[in-house]
Amino acid sequence: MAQSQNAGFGSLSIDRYEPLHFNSDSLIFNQAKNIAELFDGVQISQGKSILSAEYVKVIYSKTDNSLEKILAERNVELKSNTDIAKADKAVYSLIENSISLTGNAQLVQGSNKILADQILIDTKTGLTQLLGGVKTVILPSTN
Amino acid sequence: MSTLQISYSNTIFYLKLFLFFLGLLAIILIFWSAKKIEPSTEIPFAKDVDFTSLNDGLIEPLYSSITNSGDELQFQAQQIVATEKKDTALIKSASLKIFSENRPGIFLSSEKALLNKDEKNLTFIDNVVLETEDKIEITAPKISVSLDITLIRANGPISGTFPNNTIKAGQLDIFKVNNSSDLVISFTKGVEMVYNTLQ
Repeated sequence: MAQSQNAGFGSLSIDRYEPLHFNSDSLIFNQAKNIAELFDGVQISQGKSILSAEYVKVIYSKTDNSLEKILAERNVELKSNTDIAKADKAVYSLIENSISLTGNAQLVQGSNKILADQILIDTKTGLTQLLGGVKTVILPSTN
Repeated sequence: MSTLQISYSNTIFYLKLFLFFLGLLAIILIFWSAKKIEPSTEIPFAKDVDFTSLNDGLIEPLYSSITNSGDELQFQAQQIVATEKKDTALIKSASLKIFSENRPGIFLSSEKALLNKDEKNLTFIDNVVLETEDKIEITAPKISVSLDITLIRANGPISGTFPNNTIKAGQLDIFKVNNSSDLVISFTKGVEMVYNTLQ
């Protein structure tokens, strides 16, 4: 499997201690399942990092109501400082300290893109791994 | 040595069998004739009390009922008094408890509430607090509760807390899609939720 590693993704490793701010048009709680679902124009910010999507499911622990996982779907974009990652789906695990982006995953650096089957970010270190079918697209300069 | 032998005639045997089936039939008849409790469509006082006769107020009323959604309502107040509107009564120190089977209960309280007989709703005003057994606490300027189905609506600004989270929204709706479904707690019209990460 093709694999590539990048330096830290934005300020994620610092931002992980910050509160998570969720904004959306609507939010539905399901007490029985310990989940919250956010719809339309969902934006989650933590420090200087922003995850946006059209749909987000938040899963809480059944024992202490701590946040365990955030699942984002449709037009997912993760932005931290100048680093941007896009995909169809993202899973932010607060237990495993990781963000996994899959489905048309791409890392955008200026006008260049790196495509991969999966972008895996360690939120403790910010280390970014691009896994499977890694392809770099460098756009020629117009000058 | 002689042994004592007891023998029953066929008559005794059939009599015992008859009595057994008679008892069984009696039990079936008791259960069959038991009155089925139908869920009432509203809290009883909403239809039983003539609001115009409440000039001196009804002191410390206490009522309970079952909604069409199958949830139990328990209502308590300090006093119910008549208002200028024929179908509306003013309630002082109102509290309402809603219990759903196997789900956390909901408790509503306020200093004042308005009971509208025609619209079959109870509107909590002044220091309105909504709490659930699983530690959700919501405040809003006004919270309206339907008395015939399980439906709670609050129009903003709504603010609330629950373990590790705070929430603000423009509207809150609590309802059930059908009688057997889970209770849905829906925040709309601009939701802001903050989760404090555990260090």
